Amino acid sequence: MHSLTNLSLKTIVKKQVKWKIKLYISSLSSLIILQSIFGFLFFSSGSGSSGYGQQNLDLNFTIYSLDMHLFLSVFWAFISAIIFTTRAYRMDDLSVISSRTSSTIANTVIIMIYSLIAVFIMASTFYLQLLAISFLKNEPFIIDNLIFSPTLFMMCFSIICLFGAIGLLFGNCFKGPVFIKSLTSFFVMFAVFILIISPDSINLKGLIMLPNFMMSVCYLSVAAISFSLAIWIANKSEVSRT
Amino acid sequence: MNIIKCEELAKNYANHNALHNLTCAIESEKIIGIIGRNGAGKSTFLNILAGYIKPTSGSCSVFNKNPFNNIFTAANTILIDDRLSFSDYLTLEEILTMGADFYPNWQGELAYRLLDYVGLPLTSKHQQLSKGQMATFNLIYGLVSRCALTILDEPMNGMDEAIRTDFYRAILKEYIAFPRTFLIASHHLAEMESILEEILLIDDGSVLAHAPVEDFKQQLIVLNGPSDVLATLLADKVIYAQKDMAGMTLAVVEASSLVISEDLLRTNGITKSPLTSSDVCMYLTRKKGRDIDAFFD
Repeated sequence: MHSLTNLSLKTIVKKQVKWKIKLYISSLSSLIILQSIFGFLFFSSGSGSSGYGQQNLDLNFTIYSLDMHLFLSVFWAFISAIIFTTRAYRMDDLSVISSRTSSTIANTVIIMIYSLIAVFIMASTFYLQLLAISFLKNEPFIIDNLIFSPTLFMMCFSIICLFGAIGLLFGNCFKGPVFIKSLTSFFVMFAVFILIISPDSINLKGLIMLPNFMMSVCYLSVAAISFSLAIWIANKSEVSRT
Repeated sequence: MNIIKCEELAKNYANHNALHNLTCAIESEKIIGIIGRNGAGKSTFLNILAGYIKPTSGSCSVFNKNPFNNIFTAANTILIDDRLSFSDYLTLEEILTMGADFYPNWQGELAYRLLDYVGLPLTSKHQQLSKGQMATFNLIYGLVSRCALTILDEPMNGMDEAIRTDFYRAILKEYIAFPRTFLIASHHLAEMESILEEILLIDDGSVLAHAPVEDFKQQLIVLNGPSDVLATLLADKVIYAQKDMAGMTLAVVEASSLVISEDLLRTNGITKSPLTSSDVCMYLTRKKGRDIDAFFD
């Protein structure tokens, strides 16, 4: 008998990442389109505004911040990660050497790389928007924190990554063994129930008050837990072709 | 050397049991036909071997390892069926490049020549192919990957007869060039019989027969003779099929159960004739009392 092929998990994951980066590129173009549309829609209104008037004095502030762009990127990361776990994508994985574990690890790496690219896309769209405003609107401009600080960059990356990880975990939960599906459904229903009857019981004020760096560490820790859980579930999952 | 060993394998779904007590051992470097009626459990069995699904109970080992979600099994096994899919963004040429990147024994040159032979343009997308073309491409992909265990589940579905004939030969040629284990599940047993070494017959989720093709064919025989003589002769025998007409009876029985000399049969006016593999499969898996003629009578 011919010698058997012995490829390590690391080699397979590397190859899968190499191909997935090319094949999933459309999700990045969808982010660029989304960011551009929102940049255009909120071109004149910004992410917030306030006004003050007294006698002949009338002051109007329009605030342009990354918030809206970040919100979009987070939403995009969550949806994209869920899409990566859908049937069509899972079936494509079966056409090459792969296991559910290797595919999920590859998806994890893709989400992390794409989160990083998403921060650049987000920042670029924001700066382009600022540039357009400064040229097209004849209004005074007060610049606060123009330079994207490393801690802010890390925080944006960690929060996009976190929602990508939650999306991946969520998608894998519904493709996993029956007890995990049931547990996830129960958890989602319980969370919705708590949110409806007592919205104040979920208090994230303490987390928001943390410095950017600490917040990033928290987000990345939760993302790491979500990724690990997603890989663990994938390892237990059968191939569902329906 | 056995590359596949299954013992008391069972797979239960919510509403039915796909496999129960399936036990078999498959040697390496053989072309084996996995035969059975629709719903017999062939695909479930093949999916367990490919590591896609986990048996409910029993044990299964492929290359001496549990195949479920195992990267070693995945690296040495390819399952080609009609659900094999590739990304919408890749052309056939790019799919072949991707295959070459993953499979160490990949035969790129052979793939290009086979695609040219069947007239599939390299610039086409997999989803744009017709059912037969898709099956042809999938089979080429499976052949050129040269995995130690190549599982083909209904690989010829949708192909025209000429292509089917060509590809049975292609499988044989590839097997000679690079001996490996082929498991081919198909309903076209008569067509592929010539390339098979063994037949594994699955019925109702368990193995009904596993034997070399010649031995398999000789399991059942047809006896044709006077009804009264045959009635006495077959009184305590299992009869798989029987037709009575004008005082003559035609009966399909198990060859091993017939301990009677050829001379005695001839003296009693009974003739013995062999069956084809397809007929043997049909009679072995036919449910007792089910006769389509009787249904319409």
